[in-house]
Amino acid sequence: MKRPLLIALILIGAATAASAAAGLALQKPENETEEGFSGVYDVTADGSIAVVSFTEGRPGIYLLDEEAASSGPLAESGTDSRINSLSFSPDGRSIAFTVSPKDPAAGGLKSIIRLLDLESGTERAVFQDKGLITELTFSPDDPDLIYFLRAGVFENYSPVAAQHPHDFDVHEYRLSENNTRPLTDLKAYDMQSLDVPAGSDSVYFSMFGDEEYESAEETFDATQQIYRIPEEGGTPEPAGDGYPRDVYGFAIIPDGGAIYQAVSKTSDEGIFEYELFRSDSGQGNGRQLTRMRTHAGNPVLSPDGKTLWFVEDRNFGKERPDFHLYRMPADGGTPEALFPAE
Amino acid sequence: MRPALLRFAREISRRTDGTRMERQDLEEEMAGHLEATFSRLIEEGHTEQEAEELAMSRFGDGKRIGRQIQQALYPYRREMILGLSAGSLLFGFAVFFSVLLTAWSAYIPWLILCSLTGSALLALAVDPPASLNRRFVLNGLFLLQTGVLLSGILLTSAVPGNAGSILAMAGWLLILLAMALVYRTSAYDYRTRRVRLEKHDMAINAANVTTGILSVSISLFILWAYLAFSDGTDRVWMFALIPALFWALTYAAQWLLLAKGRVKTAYGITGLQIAVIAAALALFFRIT
Repeated sequence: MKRPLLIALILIGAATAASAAAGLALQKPENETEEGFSGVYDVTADGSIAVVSFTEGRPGIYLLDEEAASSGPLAESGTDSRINSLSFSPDGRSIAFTVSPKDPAAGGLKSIIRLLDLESGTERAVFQDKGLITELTFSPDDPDLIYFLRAGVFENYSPVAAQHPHDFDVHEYRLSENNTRPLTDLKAYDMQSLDVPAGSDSVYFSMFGDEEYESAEETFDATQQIYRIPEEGGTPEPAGDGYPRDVYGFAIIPDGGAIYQAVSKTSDEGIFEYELFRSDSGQGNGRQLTRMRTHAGNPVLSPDGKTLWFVEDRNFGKERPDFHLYRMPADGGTPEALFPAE
Repeated sequence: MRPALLRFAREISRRTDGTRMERQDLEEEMAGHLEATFSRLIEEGHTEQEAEELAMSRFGDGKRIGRQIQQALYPYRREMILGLSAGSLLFGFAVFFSVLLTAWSAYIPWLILCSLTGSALLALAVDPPASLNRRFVLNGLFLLQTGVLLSGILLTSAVPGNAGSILAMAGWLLILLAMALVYRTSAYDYRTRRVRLEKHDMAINAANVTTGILSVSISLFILWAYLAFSDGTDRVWMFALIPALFWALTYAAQWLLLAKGRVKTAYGITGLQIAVIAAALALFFRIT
């Protein structure tokens, strides 16, 4: 073998060995790699914002001040868990949040609803469940009542698809009685965007409306739509006469209609671009509110319906999300970036 | 013919990528020159051993001459392989550190595999071993390198922003280079021993590399679709192998028919192969 070739091969081998050693020294367990805003947040009636943010993989709840800056975490959880959802109580004095394992396949299917008292800074577990609680919200009219979406299983529907929560139903939990009650009996494939508007007697959520389809071909025509059930539970019925496309996240407008998240178009890279639309009639034909050209979602409306908060994932379709919180007028305007600071 | 001179000529011819017949012709031609020089040196009064050594030393450095002949016969091939090797090594280290420093994940086995395939390509380009089935080894390495590059492109999805896109684009360019080398190696650089069939051999090999890429892609896609929409517990997945098997069998049939000189029948099989794959693709795009 030629000497220069031998030297080149030795150098490549040395560089590979050094790189592998650097990799071993610098790599972190998957649980400790998440950093920054998780995309989970809630807003009080007076506009106070609480967000869930990761620090070296630990999820924590932070309150944002008027400049949208955060101080230390009010509550934290371990690196093997995530805070899926949080909700301010109607008086804004406490926050209910749900904690579950980051990897339910390894950590077991379980969730804990915890209550954080903002005045005393103390927190306590109020309810533990052997399912995956993906979203929760306080009833805006009853500080004793929490609604939540619960998945009964966490599995993959095919060998190459990732595991996801399935068999969803809506439940309610009464704090004073420490009692839960299912409000639906659907075992739905997917459910999201739980919303209970103030003064309403309905609980809203989105899911695939495929129960009326009989054949597999018809199931492909099913779209994700907004449904509502009476607050005491029952059979879901579509909210509005149907939207012209799949509706994922949404926020019900107090006077009717909804601000909803749907696919706007496909990017040059072949990735769906999600935007927020406003439909005052609930009949579809929504007017496009955002033009982020990435992934706008998680809309939250102020009780008077005038202010809209939402989250943009600037890295949507890639391995790691990059969430940013915005505020804008609910009838359209320029979004103002709030968190994290830019 | 003197054995030492014949061995010297053979060593030089082995450093080229020609067929066995081409190498033999080259070897005989060089041995003739060496023998003539040897005879002249004997007439000048040298001993047989002196004349042999002088004839070889006046001919030049065997390795260098072999490399020059190789370059004249197959222009830019060495540079292309060197480019693929250097590019793949740089791509490997860039992807490894980008993923490590953004996602804090170290894909060490992948980096080692990337370095090994890159180094093997470098060694084959700079100092190829004389005794090697080059067509098989080179094509095997190009295909292995394509797989390594594809998995590297998947890893770039962990790299945020433009850096990930730039790395992925570099990976695709390297795959393009590897595919160009597969075409060269299969259809152009290595030819049949029978001159009469040479252009048919090139045409059929070129067509089969193309249909091979399409057939294997179709098989992989069907396999992915099956796994994505089933529980994977039965053996239906084996149907996914049909396009790749169909291609392999029809390629083998063309190769055998061509070897027997049945050119028209071989082209008939090529046409059938292309028609079936085109029909499958048309059906797929119509459905989707």
